[in-house]
Amino acid sequence: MELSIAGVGTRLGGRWAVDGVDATPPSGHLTGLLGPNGAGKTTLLRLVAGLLVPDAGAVLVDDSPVHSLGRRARARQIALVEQESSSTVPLSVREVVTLGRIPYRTLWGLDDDGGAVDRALEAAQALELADRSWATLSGGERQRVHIARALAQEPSILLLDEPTNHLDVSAQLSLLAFVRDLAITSVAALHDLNLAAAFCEHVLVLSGGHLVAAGHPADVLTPALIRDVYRVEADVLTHPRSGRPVIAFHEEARPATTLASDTAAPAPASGTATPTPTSDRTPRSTATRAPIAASNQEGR
Amino acid sequence: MSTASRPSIQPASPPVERDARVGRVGRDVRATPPAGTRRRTRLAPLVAIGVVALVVTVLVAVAIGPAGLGVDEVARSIGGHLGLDVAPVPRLHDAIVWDLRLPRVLTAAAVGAGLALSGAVMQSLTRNPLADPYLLGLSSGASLGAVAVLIVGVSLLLPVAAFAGALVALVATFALARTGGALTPSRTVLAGLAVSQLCAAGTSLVIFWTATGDSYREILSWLLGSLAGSTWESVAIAGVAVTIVGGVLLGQAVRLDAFAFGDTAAGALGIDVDRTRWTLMTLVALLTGAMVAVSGAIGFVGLVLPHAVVSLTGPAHRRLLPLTALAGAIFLVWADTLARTVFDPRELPVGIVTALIGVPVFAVLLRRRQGAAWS
Repeated sequence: MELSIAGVGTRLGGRWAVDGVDATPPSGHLTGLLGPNGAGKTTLLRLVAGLLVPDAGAVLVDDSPVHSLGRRARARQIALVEQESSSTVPLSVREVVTLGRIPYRTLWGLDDDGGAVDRALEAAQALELADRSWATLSGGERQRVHIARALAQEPSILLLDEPTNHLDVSAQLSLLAFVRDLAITSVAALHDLNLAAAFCEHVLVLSGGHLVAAGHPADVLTPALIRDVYRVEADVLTHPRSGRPVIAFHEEARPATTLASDTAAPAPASGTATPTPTSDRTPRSTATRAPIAASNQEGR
Repeated sequence: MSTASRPSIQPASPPVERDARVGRVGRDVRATPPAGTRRRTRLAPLVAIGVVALVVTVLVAVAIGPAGLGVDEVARSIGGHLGLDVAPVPRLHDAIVWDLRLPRVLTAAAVGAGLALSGAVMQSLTRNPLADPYLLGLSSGASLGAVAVLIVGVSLLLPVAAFAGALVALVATFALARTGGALTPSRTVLAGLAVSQLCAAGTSLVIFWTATGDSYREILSWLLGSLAGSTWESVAIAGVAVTIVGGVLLGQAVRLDAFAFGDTAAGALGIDVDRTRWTLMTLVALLTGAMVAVSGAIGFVGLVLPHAVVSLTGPAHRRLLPLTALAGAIFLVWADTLARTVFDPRELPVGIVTALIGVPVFAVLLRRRQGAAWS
């Protein structure tokens, strides 16, 4: 199943939230979608999921535009796991996962799932949770159940919006390893560059709605790119065991710009407005945001 | 609905997350909590029990009252009118059953089913456990629409006008709730309160202006609801509406399920979110309009019944909707029986009885949601 994003753009509230993005996430692999808050990651995922109709370009699945597929047909191809998704409905875990069969149901709710729900529960290692009430699950368990629900759609493309949010380190690692090993075309919006570097075959970097870099994490995640996009100084090391890139952020080397500008400390004249010379590539992402995020996980 | 608008979904004090893999969860104390597990009873027996309970309810409720009828007499009277070969019933008793009490009890059953269905659908579509045609102003809007055409004297148009009133009130409530912020449960209920009060004031004004007889009684019966004036015509209006609209709603059960995790999730499951929402909301307004046209604005039936039934059936709408309708029917028949017998010969508006039961439930719901993402 070939996913290709061809010149996709969409306007939200009068500005281009996503603008002219061209990308081809590799089939059967995990692609990381990176970029600061407001870069357009969630919007791009919604475009790929067919929930937004692009104002320009198209998302193609095997050369046919996603938004021209029927809704149900599309939901059998593409599944989306939202960033934070809760329910007031007293559902059991199995019932949550069975929601994923809705695109296959007839009018009267019949669906010969052929064990798809059980397979999805098993694949997400959530089979033993099946009879639990969804409300009693921990954050990591909920995320697994959401992924099981997505897998019950038997999709060929899996989209995840910040799936590691609010998870502890162990849950983050096991979740992404699990998605990577699914061997279906997956695109995950991620804040943590080190997780992306460790688990993704391919990364797409968005900034201000534009795609600014794409490729293997080792090629894309360079100190220059991180400085341009995130306004953070970093060194890129090599993981002693996996050989993958490890990003070490450091705050002190950065000129005392926005952090200091509110306090009495005299900011360098060049600092506040244009912290780095390449800010023209990312016009929106800088001016309003204080780049405090020396840690790799931006607080929300 | 933006995901950013409800950031506090995670528990206030996040538990220490664990790796949820098979081997480790097996050792976790929370892996097999008796309270968290649930198995569902099968649907068919529940529906059968519900239908039997409703039939018994109708027969017993018709028998209850000052004339001292027996259930067997009620059954024989009904059987006689249905053309069955049964022993005849004294003419006076037959008239009490067939002309007075049976229409009233059947109207109560149909209205109860319709209001309970409306509440269940609204709660799912808006993801708001407090949604209900009464609290969100639909019932008052329908009352206003109904009394407005009563001035003109075209009673045939009554259900249509009530439907129009409910629809206008629905749109007004959501428009008001959305001004200047996200559509949260509490904003929606507050907006519903405002719309409801406005429509109630309008209804009172219209009746004061036009009524020649006992305007207070008439105002009360529109604002609090009353089944005292039920005729076979009301049975027909409420029965046809609840059968047709209820059937259509049941056909939408799967789509309603898809809304459990919100609009985006429903869209990703292949649901046309906007079209589904407005179609179903219009159907709810239609149902509410028909119910209010025959009984006035009876409150809290739509709020209480879905919450009571969901613990029995689970939240899947294919199971929840039919049983909510049956439970609503049974509930309102008994509420009305109480209303007409407790202070006999004086009769209470049935809305007083449903409010006495509904408000404590409302309080429990508020309490249960304490600390959750209300805003």
